[in-house]
Amino acid sequence: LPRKGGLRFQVSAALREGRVTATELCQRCLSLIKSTRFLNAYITVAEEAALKQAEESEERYRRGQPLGVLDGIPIAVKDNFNTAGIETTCASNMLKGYISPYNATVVQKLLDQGAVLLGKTNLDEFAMGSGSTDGVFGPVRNPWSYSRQYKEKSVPKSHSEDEESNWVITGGSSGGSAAAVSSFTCFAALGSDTGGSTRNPAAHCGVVGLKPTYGLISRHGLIPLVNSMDVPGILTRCVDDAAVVLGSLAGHDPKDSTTIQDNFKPFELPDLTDVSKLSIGIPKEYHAPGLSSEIVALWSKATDLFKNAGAKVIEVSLPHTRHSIVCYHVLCTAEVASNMARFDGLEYGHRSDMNKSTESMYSATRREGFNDVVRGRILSGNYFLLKQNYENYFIKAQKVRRLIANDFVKVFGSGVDILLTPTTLSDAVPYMEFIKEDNRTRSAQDDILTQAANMAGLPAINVPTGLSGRGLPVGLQFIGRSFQEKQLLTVAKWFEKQVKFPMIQLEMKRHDHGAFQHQKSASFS
Amino acid sequence: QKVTVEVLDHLEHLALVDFRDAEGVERLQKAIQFADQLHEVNTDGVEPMDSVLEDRCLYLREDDVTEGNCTNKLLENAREKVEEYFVAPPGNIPLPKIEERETFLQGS
Repeated sequence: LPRKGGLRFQVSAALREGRVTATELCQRCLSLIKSTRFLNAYITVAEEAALKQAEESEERYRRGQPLGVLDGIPIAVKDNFNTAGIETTCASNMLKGYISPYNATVVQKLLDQGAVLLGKTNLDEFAMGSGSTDGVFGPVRNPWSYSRQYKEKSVPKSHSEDEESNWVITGGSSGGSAAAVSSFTCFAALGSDTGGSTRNPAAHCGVVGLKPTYGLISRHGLIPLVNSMDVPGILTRCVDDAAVVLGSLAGHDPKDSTTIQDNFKPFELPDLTDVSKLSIGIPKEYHAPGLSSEIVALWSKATDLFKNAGAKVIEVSLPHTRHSIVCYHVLCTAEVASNMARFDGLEYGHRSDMNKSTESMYSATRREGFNDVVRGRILSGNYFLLKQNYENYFIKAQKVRRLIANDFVKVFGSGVDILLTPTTLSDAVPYMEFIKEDNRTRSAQDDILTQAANMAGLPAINVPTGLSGRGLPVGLQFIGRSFQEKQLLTVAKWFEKQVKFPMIQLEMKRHDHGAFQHQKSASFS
Repeated sequence: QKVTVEVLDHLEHLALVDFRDAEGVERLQKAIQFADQLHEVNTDGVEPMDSVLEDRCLYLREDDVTEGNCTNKLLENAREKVEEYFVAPPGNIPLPKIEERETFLQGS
């Protein structure tokens, strides 16, 4: 398959021209999933169903009637989206064995375009976390842990202590989806983004992670965390691919009344050559405490890139940024307390054997089904919603939310087109180090640069930018105006072209044929 | 300003989730402390924001039945059922009071 080179229409072209069949493509991905099982990126692999879809796609190509660019393209979906006939667990004991009776709208749309659903990816339990380490199926490993780039830079502690103790996290909570795309087991994956859960793992795994504007893409079938902030997220290997997936997903859904009714037209991204009319804002508050000097340097290099190309680059201020994490903490736990109330064991999911009364059954079911993180958030949320606390915490947080959203309105209203910020505070940390701090602390630290975009409902995208001193990916984030995804992605694509992020050089000694290098990389658009 | 046992007990009833141990209670204490930082922000004259789409009208569709008749599908995932009913244990029995429950809060 052709190497990635910013060329458009690669794998799709290959399918159309018959250089590869949908079944071959599907089989290769399934085989690669098997040989990268140690990454723990997938919870469920729907092998039979996928091969059937691939066969159907192949038949359409034979007749010269593919459904579109996505026909026959293998994709993966985060395990908090409902998928008919396939187990949907949210990486929780509460939903182990739950077979969805329906497809989430976004899943249905992908299937209607002929995409091949390979399986469901791993996450933090109920999408609560920033490491993809807190699910019942165990943590996801960042594929870059097994890259030549990382190995070259790491100092081995001893011969026996090799990759086993050194592997780094994917970030989260959509870590499985990010790892799946990063390791070439699929061409695109769905994630979700409530506080950064798509952009954070995208940055750590060196892939493109798009958080669309709230209201653009249907949440019907996405098991909700925070109804006023959740969005489905898109993970791909290049910006053009993200635009294609966005094109197939966006638009009003009568089943989700929070989707806007404006007519959405899918778009192709122009190849921007002249950025002199662009105004890029650099929010000074995003130079957050704990931001690694490497990332500061990369951010600076990026702003120079825009300056040298003739764009207007100005420092701006989003003064309420530092309050966004606390605000999120209250609003998130409050909405979680409400959303998790549906899990009572009666209609679906885990049910305790305790049968003395409804209340004791519900309470035992929830005790058995949820992990500490989920339980903690439910209890905190209920605390903030108590009558005596409602005004001082929940309403107060909603007021602060407006201040945060207004900061962006002011800046975009002053002529700035796009904001450029770091996505994460540092490159991916080793798992052993990550687990030393608890989930809430980690989430508070890691969400700081991504969270405000969810508060304000704005579109934002992580673009892989360079490698850290440890040989791990670092990304930068672009934040755009509401519903201006085309402009956002156009700028992101221009930037992607300039930085030429290196391809991962996976070295997996666990393959049957001994050590080998895997460089398959084609993007599909 | 520690949270009282009464409030903790009340929360366990409301949430139908238990603190489990001292760590669970400590987690709540830390969460409250963290949230208290909100009070540093001046929000005089600021309206609470429910949704970023507040300037738009929510979509309301016609009150017509467009789908359904999927009783079997919906019952498939339930553990206890009889004919077309979900079976629940007896209701209207509140959780026992804190003194009668096996809860770690008793020791507090």
